[in-house]
Amino acid sequence: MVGSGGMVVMDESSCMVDVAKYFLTFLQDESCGMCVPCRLGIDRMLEIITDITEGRGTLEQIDLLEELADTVTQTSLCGLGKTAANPVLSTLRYFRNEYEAHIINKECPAGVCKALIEYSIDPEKCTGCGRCKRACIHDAISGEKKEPHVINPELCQKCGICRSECRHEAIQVK
Amino acid sequence: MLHYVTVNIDGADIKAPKGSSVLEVAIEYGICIPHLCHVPGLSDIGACRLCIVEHVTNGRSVVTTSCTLKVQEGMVIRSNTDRIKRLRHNIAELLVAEAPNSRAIQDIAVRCGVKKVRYPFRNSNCVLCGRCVRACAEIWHANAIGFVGRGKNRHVERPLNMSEEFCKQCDYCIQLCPMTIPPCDGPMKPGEEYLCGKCESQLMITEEMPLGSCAWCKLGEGFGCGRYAGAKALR
Repeated sequence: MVGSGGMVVMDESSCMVDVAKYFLTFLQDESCGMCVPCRLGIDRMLEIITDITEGRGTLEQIDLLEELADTVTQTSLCGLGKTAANPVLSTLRYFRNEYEAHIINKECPAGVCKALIEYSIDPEKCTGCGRCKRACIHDAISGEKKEPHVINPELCQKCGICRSECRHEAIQVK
Repeated sequence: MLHYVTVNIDGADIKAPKGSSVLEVAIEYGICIPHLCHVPGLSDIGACRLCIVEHVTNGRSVVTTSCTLKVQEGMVIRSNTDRIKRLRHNIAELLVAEAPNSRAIQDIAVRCGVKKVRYPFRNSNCVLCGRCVRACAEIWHANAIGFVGRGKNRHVERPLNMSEEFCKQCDYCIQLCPMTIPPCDGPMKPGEEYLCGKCESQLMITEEMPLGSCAWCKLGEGFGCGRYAGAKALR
């Protein structure tokens, strides 16, 4: 269950760890801050999930996350705190493999978590039209006209503009 | 005339005056329930969640704070089950990770069985227990300080951050604040915080003592700790 219990439809391009992070960020803003488990618990859960999405996570942190989520659910003062851990608990229950992929393989299967992905251009598909080069606001793409272009990973900020501009689906996320 | 009700706390049948809270009754009878935001004589808000107990009704138990739970006839309370111990341990761990620079918080953490802190320390100056705010509003009716902001930004502040004219300079807020006493080894610098655990040796004595009361913890005096009250009753 995420959010208020409504139905949310997502495809494989949504990273479930990132979804949990989004809901926790929202709940952290909504929390009044009166009771300890809600104020500090959500904050710490967000801290752990941020660690996982940025590639610093460990497997023990998943257990800690589950225990913390259980504590927040059982001991919070009001309904917000009692349901705050639901996005974490349900994503952990049904998409534990995504969490483990972030931690063990340091990769984001959906290609959302910026610290774990890298953009590259498939030289076979690239026609060298130059759309991506003109669109890139960080000047990270170089290449001659009608020749396959290359992304400089040091300059690339992983904004995804080039990917949406490309008409030949030549830009891959790994 | 005082009406009395019988409540069962941890297996002991206790006659308690109607209208009192479970936490007050338990402390009076020497059953130590750790607490932080409760101050005798002030209203209870249930902010720290350390005084959680299991309230058993019809065979089902609900976790709730004992300071906000009023005694009722035939009530069954469990304050020391494995579930409560685990939850209390996690809350104390959150608190000590947030504010390790206080002897009171360190003592609570040790009492709740925290051996290792699994979160990075933060060293904040306030745990938002609300003791000062309630004392100012309820004892002096001064309302010179109050909570400002919400969530992460919640903090204690003077109204509009300006006037001091409401403050009666009673210093009661400072006396009640759990953050004013640094750990035994002195204040910790940011980045060098640790779990003190100095009170642990005293806990070893505690377990061997009758009624589970501790005669040594001076801190319990200021905090109205049940262990201290029980130890005084023994002498």
